[in-house]
Amino acid sequence: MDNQNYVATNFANRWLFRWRFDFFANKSSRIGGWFPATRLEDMASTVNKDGLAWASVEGKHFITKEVKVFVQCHGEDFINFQHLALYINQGTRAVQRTYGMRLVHRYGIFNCYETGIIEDGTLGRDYQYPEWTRV
Amino acid sequence: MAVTLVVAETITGANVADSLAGGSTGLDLGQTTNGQYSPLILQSANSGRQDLLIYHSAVVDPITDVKFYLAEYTGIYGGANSAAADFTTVGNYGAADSGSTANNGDGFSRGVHIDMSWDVSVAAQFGYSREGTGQKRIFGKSYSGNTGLSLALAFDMHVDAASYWNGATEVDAATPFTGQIGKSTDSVLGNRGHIRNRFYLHTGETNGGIVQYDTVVSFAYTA
Repeated sequence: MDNQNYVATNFANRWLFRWRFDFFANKSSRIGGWFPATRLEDMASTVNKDGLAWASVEGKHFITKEVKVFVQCHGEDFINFQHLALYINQGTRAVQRTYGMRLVHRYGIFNCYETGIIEDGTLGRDYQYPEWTRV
Repeated sequence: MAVTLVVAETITGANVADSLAGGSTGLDLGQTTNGQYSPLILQSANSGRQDLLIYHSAVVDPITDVKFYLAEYTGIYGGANSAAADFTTVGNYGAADSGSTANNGDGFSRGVHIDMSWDVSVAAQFGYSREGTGQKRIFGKSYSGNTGLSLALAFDMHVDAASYWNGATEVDAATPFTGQIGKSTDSVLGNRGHIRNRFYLHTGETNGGIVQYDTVVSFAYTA
């Protein structure tokens, strides 16, 4: 795997994440929210990826509000974004929250955790489900 | 869309909401005594278990990376010690488990056990030979370094936990994958994760009282 085109940086503290698509000329960037979309049309998976140049995961620092690109891949290598979530039956109600975002690309995965840690994983068998066709 | 997970006691049920000591709600596994387990029906028959059924609201893709781990209790604590101490206790139970009988007949089983095969027989459920296949896990016990006591060391949902609820009957998923639960109409991956849960106490336990901890399900879904 040639990783030279992928960016990975470690940050301390807490981060929120959102997805971002940047396209070649004549098409505006599309950027997700800092929290999971509540409408189907706001999901990254519903964005038309024709002319996609870069797919990125952006992080926003909880305190400083600084926004940075955590990981990115070429549009031609992009597969999808995933939220990483926890479910806890936490007294009086079941709560669920995200703890990171994953970028799935042609050669593997990047997990971005809320702590600022980035994990560079390898694409495994679990990601070959036919619905996840390359875009 | 944001995907909502449901963990229920029945196949179409709502989130578990038993009343717990301290005032919160969650899953109450009941009371047990030394050398037994809970929930218990008939120890000699190895019967009694807490079924947990997991399903979700995803409409685009299945959820993946479904894993389980225990954490310090985050509800309003009402146990006999403290949330931190209870978490340590439960983890230590698992680490010290030296049982070999599913029904705790030898009295050496302890801690939180799960069996991740939705249709295993009553006689075979929670059997120790099932640790080798990954179907059974004990929180706190090390399986190649994974103890199920943190997100990083969580236990994968076994492929045999996947089932499909067709609206009338629970059947096997056609081609399930480890850690995946399909959409509501997905008979291939299945639309349920179905696990069994027990709390064991060994014969030499000296401390009584209520123990409280969080069971956390981690998963990933398409953004």
